[in-house]
Amino acid sequence: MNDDILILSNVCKNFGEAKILNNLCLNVKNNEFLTLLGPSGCGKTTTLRIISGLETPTSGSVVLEGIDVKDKEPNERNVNTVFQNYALFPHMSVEKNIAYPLLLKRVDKKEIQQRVNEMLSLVKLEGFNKRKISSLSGGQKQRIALVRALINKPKILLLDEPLGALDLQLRRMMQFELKRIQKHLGLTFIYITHDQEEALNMSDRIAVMNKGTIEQIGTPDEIYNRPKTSYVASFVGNANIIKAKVEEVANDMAKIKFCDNFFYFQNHNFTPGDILTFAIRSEHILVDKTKGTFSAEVIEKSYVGSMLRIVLKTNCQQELIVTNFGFDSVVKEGDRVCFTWKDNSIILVDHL
Amino acid sequence: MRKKYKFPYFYLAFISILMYLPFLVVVVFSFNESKLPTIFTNFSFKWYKELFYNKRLLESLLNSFLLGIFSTLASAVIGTIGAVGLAKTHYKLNKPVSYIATLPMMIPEIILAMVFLAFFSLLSLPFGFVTLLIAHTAFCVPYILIMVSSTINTLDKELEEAARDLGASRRRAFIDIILPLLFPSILSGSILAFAMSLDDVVISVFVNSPYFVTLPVRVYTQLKTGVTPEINALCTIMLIICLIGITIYYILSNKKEKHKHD
Amino acid sequence: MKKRNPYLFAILPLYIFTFLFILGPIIYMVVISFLTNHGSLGYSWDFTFANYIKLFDKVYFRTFTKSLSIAFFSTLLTIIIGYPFGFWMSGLSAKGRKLMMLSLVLPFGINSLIRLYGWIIILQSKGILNNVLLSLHIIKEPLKILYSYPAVLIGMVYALLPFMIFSIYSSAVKLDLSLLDAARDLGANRVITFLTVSFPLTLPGLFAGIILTFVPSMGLFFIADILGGNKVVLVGSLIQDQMTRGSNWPFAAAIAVALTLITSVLLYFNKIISAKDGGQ
Repeated sequence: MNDDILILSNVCKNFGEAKILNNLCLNVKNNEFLTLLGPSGCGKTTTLRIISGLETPTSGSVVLEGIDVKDKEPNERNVNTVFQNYALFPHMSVEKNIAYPLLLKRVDKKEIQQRVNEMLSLVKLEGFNKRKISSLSGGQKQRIALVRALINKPKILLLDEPLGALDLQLRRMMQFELKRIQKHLGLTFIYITHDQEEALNMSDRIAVMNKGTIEQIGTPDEIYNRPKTSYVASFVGNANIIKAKVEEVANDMAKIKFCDNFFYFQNHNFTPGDILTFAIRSEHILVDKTKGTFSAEVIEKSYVGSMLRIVLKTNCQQELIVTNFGFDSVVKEGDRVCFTWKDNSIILVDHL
Repeated sequence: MRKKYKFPYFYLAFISILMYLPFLVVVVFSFNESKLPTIFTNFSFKWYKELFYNKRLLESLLNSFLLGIFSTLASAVIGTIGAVGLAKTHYKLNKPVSYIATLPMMIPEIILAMVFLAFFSLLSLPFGFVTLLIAHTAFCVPYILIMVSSTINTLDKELEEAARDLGASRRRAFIDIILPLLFPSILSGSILAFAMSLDDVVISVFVNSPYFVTLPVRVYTQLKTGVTPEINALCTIMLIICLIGITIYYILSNKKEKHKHD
Repeated sequence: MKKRNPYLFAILPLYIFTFLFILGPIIYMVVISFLTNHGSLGYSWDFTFANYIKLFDKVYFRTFTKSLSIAFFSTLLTIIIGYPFGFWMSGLSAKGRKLMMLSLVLPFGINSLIRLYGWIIILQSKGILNNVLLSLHIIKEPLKILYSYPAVLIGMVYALLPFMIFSIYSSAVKLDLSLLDAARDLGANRVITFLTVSFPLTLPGLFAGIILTFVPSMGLFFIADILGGNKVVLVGSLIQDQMTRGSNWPFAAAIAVALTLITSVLLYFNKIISAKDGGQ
């Protein structure tokens, strides 16, 4: 498939005894915005560093545009990184920072000047040429770091949680800007974040990572609505994970027992007795005083921003999180209620 | 001083004056016509003239200066790249070696002097500039090593990585990024090392040679045979030069402070 | 695929220099201390403990104790004079601190031997101090200070005071003034605040200063030589003497080794105590 600009095959990385990456396989498509999503320690930064060349894998291959670059130095690859803390050179001016990659290549002075100005206008920082790095704000530093990595027109741009240090407003704006620039320049971006909202907003595809491997890779829609494992389901969005047992099977429908009642689900070659794992998003659970298949007790009620958050305790002692937009003062802590979920909103995650 | 107690100021002033007392005496007597430092007879520049003709004393001054410059240079190079290497490699010997390299600063100079004397004799090395250079470099390296090592650890690791990521080879990244950022501490370490080299008496006296005589050796022998007033003149001149140097430094650093606030 | 670390070449000069010119000589010295001396014929490779046993001879042993006592008293005096200086210096305005620092640093541009010279002039029998005291009729006869133990003490303190001051100062200047305010707020007067807050927090500087003062004082033989003459013989002078006039390198080496051991022991104790009290 020559649509793939980067292929990581069975990449393992050990630091001493610790196995950080465990047979990681990843195919990155040309011109896509791919996000590596996962909690701290799952190996996303290590993966990025292996792609950029700042680390070498213990085993496995890294093929960039058809060439194995595993042993190539970072400065020999056409890949650039935007670092988490920007890594702008404090002893150089803004324009010297941005021009650095070109200065290394001994590009003509006039051309350098032109390209630097181009980059500055790309991020709306015209005139900042002679400024000192120490005089820049966080957002400005971030944009300078970005264009410094772009000026060389790298095949792939790696971004390591670049928006982490910015406040919410700025972060939202920059998410939009980054996406725009990526599309405008037609580059491949590999982006790291632990913020699922960011990932869902910006990416063409998301790779959800866990303990050194990729659990699932797909479009935001696939990840959100069709998670393949309970880990993915609970990492992206607020999902409740429940286990239920198959009671009866009849052709295309199965009767599943959960707590004190049943529900029906499409038959996926189930056998009676199978234990299934499902995920229900917190916003898909419907709570009512009297109407509903299952019963539970409200053990917690709070507000998160403009969202109502209730924790239910089912009859089988399972806790479920329910979220709802808008205020609803009808239920109180301690009430006994009934609940069910919106049709077709329950997701089969694991099948044992 | 939080409260308005005056005593601390008096104390500081008093001790400072006491510390400069010997200098005061030397300066005053450098203009004394009499050879004896007991009474002040007439004001005279006699000893300054004598100093000018005292070729041996002047030569030793130059020698000390040269020694200082070269040993500072040598220790700056060894110390700086050594510090960088120590920070970037993880050999088991690194810690012991860096400890041994800083030993000269921690043991009494006399021991160092004796050690070098014995060692150079063993190797039958002719005593002279080279042996002194080795000895001085040995006790200057710790100053640079410590200063640079402590700065390296505070340097952002990402800066060097960013340079390499953007296309710089390790060598280029070192020259363009690491070295400029280390420069302030290399400089202060070097200045300190240079001062220590000029100040040295013990090692110079032990590891001396008739072919390359440094200032302290010359003064030492002269002191043992008798008191020569040219030394007063020399001291006064050196004092003035240092004073000028420090004043320039003070003015420049005040300017820099002002510039920063703009 | 193990690549050779490119920084190998960076540490190579340091390694070579250290092994060749520091470790090597030190080991050689220790070896010599166990050899037998044959006067002007040099020394032979007959291993013996004789040199170390000789250290305990009354004469030599006394030299050690005398050196230790001078080192001890010099250090004590520098603490007494230098602590208040460093402490109060840290309380000056920024400009004041800078000026004071520069005034302390200025003398170091001049060789320490020359700096000492002025004291000879002052302390001589016909020197300034005596002249002043005589003319003020405070004393009847000139004091014979030069070429005596007190003279050496004065010289040592003079040479080492700046180091103690720097150490105390760098510790004191980092004092968080809000801690002092807190103590005062809680009811402590100035003295108690100092004893319970300021002083303990400046202990690291004090311990560092002790090392910077005590260790060199054992080795600054030229001060004892110039200001003490033949009357005051310290370890440093002894070593020099044995290596030149005495032609007894093995013995000199033994003295040096003993000196190193003593210094190391003291350094070690200092480290332990400072770790306990100073905290870090």
